[in-house]
Amino acid sequence: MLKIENLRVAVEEGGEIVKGLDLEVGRGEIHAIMGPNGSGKSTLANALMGHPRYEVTGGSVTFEGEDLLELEPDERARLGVFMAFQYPSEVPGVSVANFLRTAVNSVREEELSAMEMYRLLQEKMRVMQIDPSFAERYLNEGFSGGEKKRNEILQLLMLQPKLAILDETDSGLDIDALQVVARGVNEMRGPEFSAIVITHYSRILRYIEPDYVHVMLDGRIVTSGGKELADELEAKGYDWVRQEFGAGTQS
Amino acid sequence: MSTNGVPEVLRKAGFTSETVKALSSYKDEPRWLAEKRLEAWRVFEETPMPTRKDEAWRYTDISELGELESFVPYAASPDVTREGDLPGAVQRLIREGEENSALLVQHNSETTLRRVDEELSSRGVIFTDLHTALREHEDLVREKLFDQVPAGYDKFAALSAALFAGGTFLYVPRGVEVEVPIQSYYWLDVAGSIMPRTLVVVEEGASVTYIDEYASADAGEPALSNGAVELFVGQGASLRYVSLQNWARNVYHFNTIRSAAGRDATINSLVVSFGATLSRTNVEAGLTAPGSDSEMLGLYFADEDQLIDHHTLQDHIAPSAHSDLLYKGALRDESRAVFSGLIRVEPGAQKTDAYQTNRNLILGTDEAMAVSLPNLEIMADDVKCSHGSTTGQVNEDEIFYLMSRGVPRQEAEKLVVFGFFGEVTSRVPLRGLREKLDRAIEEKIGLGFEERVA
Repeated sequence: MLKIENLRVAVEEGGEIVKGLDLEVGRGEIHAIMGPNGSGKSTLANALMGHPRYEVTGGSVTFEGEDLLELEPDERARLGVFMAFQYPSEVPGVSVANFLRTAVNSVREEELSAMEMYRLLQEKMRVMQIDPSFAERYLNEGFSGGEKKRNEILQLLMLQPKLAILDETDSGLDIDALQVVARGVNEMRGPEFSAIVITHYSRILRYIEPDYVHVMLDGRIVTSGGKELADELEAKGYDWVRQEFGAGTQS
Repeated sequence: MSTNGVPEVLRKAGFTSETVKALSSYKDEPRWLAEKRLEAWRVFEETPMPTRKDEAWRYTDISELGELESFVPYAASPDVTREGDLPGAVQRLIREGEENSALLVQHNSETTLRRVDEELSSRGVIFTDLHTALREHEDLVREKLFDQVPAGYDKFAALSAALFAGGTFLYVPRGVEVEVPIQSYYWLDVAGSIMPRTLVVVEEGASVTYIDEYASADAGEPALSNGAVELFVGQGASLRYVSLQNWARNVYHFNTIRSAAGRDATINSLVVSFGATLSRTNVEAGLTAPGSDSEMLGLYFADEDQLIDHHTLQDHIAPSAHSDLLYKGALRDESRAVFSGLIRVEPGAQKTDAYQTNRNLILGTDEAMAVSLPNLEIMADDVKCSHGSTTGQVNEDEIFYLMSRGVPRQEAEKLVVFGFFGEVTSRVPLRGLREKLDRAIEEKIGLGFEERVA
């Protein structure tokens, strides 16, 4: 479904961050990407979604056979790619409801009626334990960290993508909020839904159980395994990864 | 076009004292007004044309306007007996506007249509053009006319006092609450000049919403609209005033809007500037009695080579008054915007509460420029005042965020711009007006500001 080959990504300030990364995500699979700060996890997520400040300098990314890198962010979204932002933008004056209406109708082939949209939003807000008044608030403006993350997963549920990239959605969440966020993601789980869960900590993986775990270091995936790799990482820490796979010990 | 016996001197280019006299006698005005007009004319003659050396005109170059005296002073209009006789464009403005309980249409220099709901008249509300008001309610008009925008205010105010024609007089008696808005339309379809003038008096405990809307068909040649708006709001009374300027691009627009508020009075103003090649509006709220409250909203969108200038004053004369100003503008292409705002707290105006914010959004260009000059002048010590101003481009992170949800760039930009203006429009409880503003903003955005090739 998603195939990343030898991907290289640079940012204007800071040079090359992702340095030849390979990853394949099949239909219905949940992949976790773990790694210390600065290993290039968020850069990978932003490049996959097409952020203009991240420049792809090499490699390829195909999604269901299409060259993802040729597409604008909105076109990627319409193909079924979704990213939950680590730091969602505040958009003053644009209400959550208005934004979701525009977004849902952009990705769907047929527009939803106002009533269908209303029902769908009510239903998904219930899953995310979000108060209905939330819909009239301006997008992310004045939201707490937890509200922002719930709002990201609410959008995931509304848009029903085929592939979701969760960029450190767990960071800054208390355990209750984390469980609500995980419930939202698990609600999507099924043979047609794949996800890349990017995280620093293994905590979220207790609630969203991955099929595969990859460890990223210095712009590459240095080792991969099943969900037991997350536990090993938790026990041994990133220093162990650096010693095993860091610069100077490249195989 | 019928000239209705308009004197020859009013129909040819050039203003002189003869023009002023001819206008007074054509309108059969009382002697005191004829004298006031001539006095104003003398002030106009003595006052030099402002240049960029004047502080208030530093960023607004009006030299291309040439001599004010070069314009035709008066333009007649066709006779109209019912709404269906009005130009199609004016009928559309009315249809797409706010629901109203009374309506005036000024076509060029003359008022051509008036409709007032019977229910308003029976409660003593007066709504008519200024000439009729001077005939039928001379004392009411005489007491207030030129009080807020006198000839001495500036050269344009002097010209307006000398040569105003048509105009609007709205009087709401004590305790009368007018639920449905009252509206004046100013329509211009010839080159030349018009001098509209609005006088609103809201007596103690009364309330009303009143809208001045300016629009025109492009006559090719330059045209001048030189207006004055005087607002008087009595004790405990409330006025919502809207000025919607959407002239065609051949028009030079000058307007001064000043208000005086009684004890515990509330004035909510919204000044919208979309049209004209050059638009200069002075908006001054006088917090003249304790407990008075003034909300001042502004919304503008400049494109092509437009220059849109607002000079505002929150004049705190009395203690314990509150004022809150928010002016937001978008700019694209090679346009310019000037905002100069002053909060002045006079000695003795203790417990003043005053806020001022100006925000400019530059859309996809390096050529557009916004000048924002917020200012405080505080001569009392127990006050709460703050001001702020920002000017910036559309945030690319916001656009990326919206696009990542499947929203195409053009739609994403629209959402951001509407969101930007939403902070102003959401504070105006007039649905028809808001829809009109949204349509005008949508038109201004057009195909989007990234696609457009310079």
